[in-house]
Amino acid sequence: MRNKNMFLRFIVGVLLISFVLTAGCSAQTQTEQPVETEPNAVETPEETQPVEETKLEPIKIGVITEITGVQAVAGKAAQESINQYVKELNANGGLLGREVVVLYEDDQSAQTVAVNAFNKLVLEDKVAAILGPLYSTHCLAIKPRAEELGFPWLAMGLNDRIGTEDDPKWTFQGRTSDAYTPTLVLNFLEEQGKHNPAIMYIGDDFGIDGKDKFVKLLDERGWTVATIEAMQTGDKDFTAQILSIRASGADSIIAWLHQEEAGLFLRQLEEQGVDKKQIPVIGNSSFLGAGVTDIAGQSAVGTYVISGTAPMLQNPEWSQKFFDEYGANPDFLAADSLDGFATIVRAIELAGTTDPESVRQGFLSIKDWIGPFNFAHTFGTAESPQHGVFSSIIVTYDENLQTEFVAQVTK
Amino acid sequence: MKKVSKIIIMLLLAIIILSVPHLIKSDYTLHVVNLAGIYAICVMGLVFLLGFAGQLSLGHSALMSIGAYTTGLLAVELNLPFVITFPAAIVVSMLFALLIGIPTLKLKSFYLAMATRGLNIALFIVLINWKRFTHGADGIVNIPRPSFAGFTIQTERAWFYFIVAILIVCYIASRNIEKSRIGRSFKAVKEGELAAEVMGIDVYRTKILAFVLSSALAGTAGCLFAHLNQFICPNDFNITQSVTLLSMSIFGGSEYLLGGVVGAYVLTFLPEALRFLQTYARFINGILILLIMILAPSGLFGVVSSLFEKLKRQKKLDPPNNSPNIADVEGMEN
Amino acid sequence: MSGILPQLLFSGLAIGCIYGLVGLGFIQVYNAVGLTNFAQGEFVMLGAYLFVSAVVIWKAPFWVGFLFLLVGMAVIGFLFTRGVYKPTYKAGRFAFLLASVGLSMALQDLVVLIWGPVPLYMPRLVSESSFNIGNVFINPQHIIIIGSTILLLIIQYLIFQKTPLGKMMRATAQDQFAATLSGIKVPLMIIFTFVNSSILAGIAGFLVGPVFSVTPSMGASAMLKGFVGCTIGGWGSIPGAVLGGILVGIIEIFSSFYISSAYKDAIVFLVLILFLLFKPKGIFGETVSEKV
Repeated sequence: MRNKNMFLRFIVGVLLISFVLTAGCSAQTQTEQPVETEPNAVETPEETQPVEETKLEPIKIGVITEITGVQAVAGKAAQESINQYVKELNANGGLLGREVVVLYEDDQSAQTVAVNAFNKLVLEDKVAAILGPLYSTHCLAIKPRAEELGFPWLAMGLNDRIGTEDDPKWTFQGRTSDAYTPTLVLNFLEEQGKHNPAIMYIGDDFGIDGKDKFVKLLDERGWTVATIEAMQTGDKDFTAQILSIRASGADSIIAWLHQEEAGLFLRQLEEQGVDKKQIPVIGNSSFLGAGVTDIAGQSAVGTYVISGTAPMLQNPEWSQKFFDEYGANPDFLAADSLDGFATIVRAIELAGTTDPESVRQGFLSIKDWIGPFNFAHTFGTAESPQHGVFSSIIVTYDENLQTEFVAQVTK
Repeated sequence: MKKVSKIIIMLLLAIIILSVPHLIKSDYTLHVVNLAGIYAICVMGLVFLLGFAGQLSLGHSALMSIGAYTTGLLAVELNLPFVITFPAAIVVSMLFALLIGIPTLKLKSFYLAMATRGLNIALFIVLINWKRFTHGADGIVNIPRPSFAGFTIQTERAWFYFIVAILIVCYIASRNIEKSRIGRSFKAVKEGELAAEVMGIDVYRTKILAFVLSSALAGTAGCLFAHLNQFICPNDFNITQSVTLLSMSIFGGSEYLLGGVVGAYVLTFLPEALRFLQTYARFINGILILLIMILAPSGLFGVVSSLFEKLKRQKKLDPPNNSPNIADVEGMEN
Repeated sequence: MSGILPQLLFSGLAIGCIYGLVGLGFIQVYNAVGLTNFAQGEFVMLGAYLFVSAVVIWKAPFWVGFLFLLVGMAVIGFLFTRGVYKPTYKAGRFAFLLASVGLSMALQDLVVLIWGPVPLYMPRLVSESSFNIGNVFINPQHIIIIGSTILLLIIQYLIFQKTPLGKMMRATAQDQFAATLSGIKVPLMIIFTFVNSSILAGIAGFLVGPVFSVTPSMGASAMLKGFVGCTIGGWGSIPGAVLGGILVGIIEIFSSFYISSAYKDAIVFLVLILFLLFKPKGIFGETVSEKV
């Protein structure tokens, strides 16, 4: 027994010594740097290269998305829209004359996994660029790592901090951030003559952040907030919250939710006798989610939605193609993911090569580029270099539950 | 086991541990190894609670979150160095466990299980909503790497040695506790609370002690987690995480400290190794727990040690030359 | 604004009935075998998915869907007993519990694999719109939930008190050893108990599906609240489980309205802790002796 203790102590001692040695050598730089893909490396020929040289390596683009976990709807939509796009892209000659290969990584709707996925794509798979997840917390988790490694990626989260905080160089933001959307919403309400909204938000990062931004803006404008109500993911009954809203005398409702709750909320609003003509409801892009009209049915009619993408309106041909292939209409998740991916393709195109710094410059040189959903992307502005999109579209549901255009709003 | 073979095994282990970071070229893989090591520390705590004292906690990640958040907040808000955040994380976790343990450890098995799950959820809600204090769902970013006495633990390699060193220290300490009177009282409580009371053990206090000790380990793990990832958020400590910790313990054998360690490493690498089965990952996790409980509830180490027992018993039934030695009888070996 | 109180009560009652049904399933199993099934919430979810598959995806008529639900849940209950309960109930303190935790996780993801992650829509039994009495808006589905729960409770009562099968199940729940001595086939009774509990859960899913939507995680919250209801009502007590669940539903909705909708789950949990501290036997408290 004494022997055992002695030897354990011996081991600990050895470990501590070696640790001291390595920590002392911690002046060494990072062991790995993202390696540039040689555009002219001679490799085994690709499987299908219809047109050009079979000697060029494919361009690998990583996509981190929610394939499992609570937000798995996003992953499915992303894969469908991107796969369709890449197939067509490759059939038409690829990118820079090379085939595009997409590497999907599941972030399991969890931040640590998202960061691990990022590490893997950069360090192991050596992709050229990465499309980040649609959810802000995941993006915020990845961001420090991206900046540390010096690797360009396009975050699709809405939180403004992603593209602004701490002056990022490598992190780009591909959707209209919530620095602008709440302002656009309030402008819209102003036009309707409403100054006393109720806010209904979902109690996660996205909802809470949105709520906070609204509260701040409302305060700045000197408007009143009728009431602020919350719900948790998985909650289904909003009787209490809706009663609160009715009792508060609100003249409008701002709803910042996810898909499933959106549908239920609209339905229950209707059931509780809230008249949307008197009290307009404006929701975030989740209200354009595929399941919303299924669940809400006629109670969705007349709801306003502010979104970056409303694919059925902005690109009906593409929506039809999507429907033909997948049997269901695309929603904002599919469209946003595709828009982001196309932006990356554009950046690499402008860069002309795939090393990180060039791709980064490629992003910055995107000016007034019209993406697949007919709105402009401009990066590298003096005010917000890492942001690319500053406009949103406001739509509403007509009697046939089709999206109807209301306004295109820009910051 | 003979003393000489034990020494040989220890040496081999030392060599393996020292060479690992040099064999693994990829920073990414090393990072996963480090994460596994951190979870191993946390799971050892769970072994204390579940394996030794027989108390089922379905919310263990909540304890880890306390350590992580203490560290994160102290480091980022008050700019306190590692030498303070580390012990602080442990102390706060233990206090928290004390606070929670006092009301809930009066409960039996599934009550406790449900209460701890409810606790996990409630804490999660608080972490997300109490933005002013906890930074809410955004989490805490830019947690610095630990530096003390002039060293900064920056590279994954340095982290590897650091984590393994702490892991070993925790293991030794836990093992000593396991073999002490305290450890025995834990196991007595697990065997049967009524019988333990009769033997003069204060069951309630014993349970609380087990809970507090397990949270010390969880707090340690939480602190390291925060410094390694440099980013924490409430989602890192949800119910799924608790169930994962539990499955790590069960896989290795809930009654064995080393079982927990092995379970942590295996189950951290499994999702990585099975990345091509992405969509099925969580499904497999659940099925794994189910199957283990059905087929081998004592876990890996349990199965292995019962195999050893069988072999030993075989050897004893037909001894080579000497008569059975009292000292060789299992249970009395020290 | 008048009508708030009755509105809250009514909705809370309806949700509470669901929690009560889940809790009832818990208690029946607990009484029979002394264990808690952590996958009970997922059984609720499966019931909803089974019905939706039949009626929405395969476009079968309503009664066929319901029958499919009953049969399906019975089969699931049976498989559960043989596949999970039987191998684990003797294998140590937590084997069954943990096995059901694992099953619960696996089922949630299995459902995603089979039906996809998009929430499914379950059609209402009656017309879509709600009507109002004064200032109170009544959702017909809520009425159906409350009515069905009452009906189910009556049926359960009749089964357990009046039929020979029910009496045998009760005898098993009371004392397995004595029941065996009286010639009751205890393993069979256990199977019946699980099947009954599984069907109850499935019907709860069927009732709640149209009000909400059908998602993989719909059962998790119901299970936790159902459990809290059982604790408040007092473990071992059947009326306690149901009334406890109803109470939880009402507390939940009242605290959401009057206190905070963000923290309401934490508040429910707080209530649980308070009960555990001050009234651990619950309202209808029966002394639950620890199996030594």
